[in-house]
Amino acid sequence: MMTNVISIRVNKRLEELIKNLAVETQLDQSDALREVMNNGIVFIAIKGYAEGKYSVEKAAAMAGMPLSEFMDLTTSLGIRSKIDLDDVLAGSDNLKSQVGK
Amino acid sequence: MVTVVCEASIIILISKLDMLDTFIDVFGIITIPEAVRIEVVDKGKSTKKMDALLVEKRISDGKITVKKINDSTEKIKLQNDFNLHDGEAESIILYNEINANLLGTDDYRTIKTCRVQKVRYFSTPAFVYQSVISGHITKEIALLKLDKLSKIGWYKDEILEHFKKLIQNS
Repeated sequence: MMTNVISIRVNKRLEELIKNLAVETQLDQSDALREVMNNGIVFIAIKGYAEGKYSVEKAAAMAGMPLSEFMDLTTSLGIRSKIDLDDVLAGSDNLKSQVGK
Repeated sequence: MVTVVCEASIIILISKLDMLDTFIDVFGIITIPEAVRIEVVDKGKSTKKMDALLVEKRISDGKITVKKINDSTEKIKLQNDFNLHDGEAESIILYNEINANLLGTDDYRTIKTCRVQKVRYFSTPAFVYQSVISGHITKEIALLKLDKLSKIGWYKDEILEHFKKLIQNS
């Protein structure tokens, strides 16, 4: 896989955290940092979705995952949709009005 | 016939419940925009999701129709204004362009957008209930589907409990 170089400056605390993670995960520091970046992006997407900031498809795209996989991931983490009973009941009325009995 | 447009989250959830054929039985033909096909089928197949194969087969059988939207300017506006992605925005536009009766969604932000835009949406728990009312499935099957939906973990328990009671009392 083709890779690009991105240079970033980190403070002492972050450097220490990356070193600790590298030791803990038995990865070299570059791989540990890549792991942090990958998981960090997924975390930001999940958090935004859980707070109702992003739609589920937008959050999945941000995480770089197919929607179905992202839905499986959020539910496996115990995150429920922010949809309320009121929302579903209003939708139920819409459905009834069009489909009827 | 009722014209129904669906976005990806409800297609995936209904497929996970093994209710896609009931969905088609109730509505006749389901219409999805191209972006939803890409999300559910193309991207889903890349991770070997069963729901992707199921939906692909129903498309090739002509039970699910794929349509392209005309107004891409409105798509960008919807995405920017409501923080939606391609499939969700295209579903709302397609609903308006083909004068659909209903839009199926299980996404919170899409539902909120539908409420603002006065789009007649519905979601999975309501569909399960309506399937009982219309005689497409029995109460027992519906309750099993709601149990499965509970295990999937998408909806809050209070919502599923409410619909279980509705079904039991119907």
